[in-house]
Amino acid sequence: MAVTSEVSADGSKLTIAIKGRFDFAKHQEFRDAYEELSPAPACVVVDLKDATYLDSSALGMLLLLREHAGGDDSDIRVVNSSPDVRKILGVSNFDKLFDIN
Amino acid sequence: MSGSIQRLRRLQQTIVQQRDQIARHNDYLLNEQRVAKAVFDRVAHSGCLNAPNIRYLQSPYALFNGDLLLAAYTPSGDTHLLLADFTGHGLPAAIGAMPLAEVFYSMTAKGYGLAEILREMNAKLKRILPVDMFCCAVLLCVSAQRRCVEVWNGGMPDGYLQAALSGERTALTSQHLPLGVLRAEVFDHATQVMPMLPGDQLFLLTDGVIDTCGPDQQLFGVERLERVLDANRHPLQLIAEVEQALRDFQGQARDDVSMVQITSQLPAFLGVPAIVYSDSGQCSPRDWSASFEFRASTLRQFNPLPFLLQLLMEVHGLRAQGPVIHAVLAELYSNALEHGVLGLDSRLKRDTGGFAHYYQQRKERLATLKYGFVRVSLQVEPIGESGRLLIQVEDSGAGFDVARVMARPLDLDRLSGRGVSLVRQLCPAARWAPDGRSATVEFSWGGLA
Repeated sequence: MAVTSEVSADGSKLTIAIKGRFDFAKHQEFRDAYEELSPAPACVVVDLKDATYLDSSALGMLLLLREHAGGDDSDIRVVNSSPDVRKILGVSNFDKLFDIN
Repeated sequence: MSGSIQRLRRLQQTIVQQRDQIARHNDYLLNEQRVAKAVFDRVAHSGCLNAPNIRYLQSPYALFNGDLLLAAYTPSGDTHLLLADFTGHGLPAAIGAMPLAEVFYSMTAKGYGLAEILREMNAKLKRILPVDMFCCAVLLCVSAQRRCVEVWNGGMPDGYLQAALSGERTALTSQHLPLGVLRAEVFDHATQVMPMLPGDQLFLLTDGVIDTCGPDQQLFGVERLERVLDANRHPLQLIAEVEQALRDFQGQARDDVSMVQITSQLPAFLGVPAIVYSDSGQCSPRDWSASFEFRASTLRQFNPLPFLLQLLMEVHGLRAQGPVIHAVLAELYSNALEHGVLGLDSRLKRDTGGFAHYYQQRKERLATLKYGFVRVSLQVEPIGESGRLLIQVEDSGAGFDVARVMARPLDLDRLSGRGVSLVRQLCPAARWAPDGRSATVEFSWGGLA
């Protein structure tokens, strides 16, 4: 599986991990990882440890996730991104919307 | 036996039908793209991309790669330039380009500044695009008259400002989220202002340039690009050299990148008035006066110039001089605001570092402004079939030593204190009250000049 997801025992945290290229091909899998969860977790962690690349449609997918998780009230952390992926997130200034570390 | 032949025959029929269907769909698609492009070209190509100081490279199908390049003169002869990159490909990427181009051209022609144009573009895209679509963009205002460039970069790769004299290269780095992401209330239209002298060059590109993939999945990258910039000797060759470097790197030409280069150059004439007037020419107000006082909370966030210009352009006799009136009014207004109300010292702008400091102070003082005003009085009077316009701009500031400033030669080479000499060049009859708190200019029409 290129996209795996895991909910913490108390249901408050969802972790979505991406493997390989994070691009349009992962669109459906990425949505499936969070859309049907009820109750929605308070916090979402997107783990990019094994993501090699990220394109603008991946940025769009992150925006969709943010909207789904409550927009300005959402708590989304993007973790373990490689220097290259960090650069892409940086140019788009996505650190103004997401907690990136 | 005959059963399997029949099955083969049916199979062949199906294949032929499907082939024809695919061909038909492809024709439809190509035709749709052709029509969409034709409509779009009419919207987007009315600008000044062919001006002598602009060079660019763009694939004919750039629109369907989501790339958009627009340029237009402001009423006072500055150049606005937009290089934008929508997420995605094909029609979905092209569809947002239309409203963006409309906003860019109509607001530029009416004399709006970058901040207002950016706010409008962002709000419009936020309203019409789905959540996962957005638009990376660089918007510039190159002013040869004021010798500076104003930049906003949201999500585009670094652009470069190359100084002709010092050879210094400054990166124009993305400081904002792309357009169409943030709600209007939290959108940040803050721009950077940098000195840009005649002959200085600006170079912008879309991410296709640095994302060009070479052997072993390696990307072309910023370092290789900057090596090409370092090696460049003739600015006219730069785009061709980058193109060649991409070809060498990838082994084939790329047709989905956009690059643009603009030089600061005084226009041979001020921008032609681009506003389209819908009246029949029968009703022109020729005898009136009005006075406006813009106070602190208004000065903080409102630009009254487009409104004042549109009001003045209702006077038919003044339309031919629209660009000059706009340039003079804009200069007087910003002098009144920056040196008068905000008390900024234009001598700060003597060098590049001071320039940045000046605009930082401008931003800070404006944000916390509590008192002060700029008063603009307009008087239009008929004189037979001719007439004249008097504009007086007053401010609440400390004034300046008029006699000393007037004694200076009309010098266009200084970075600082350019406002007064620019106004005097454009409008020789300009005069200042002895205390330096108010300026009056006059424009005549119908043979009264």
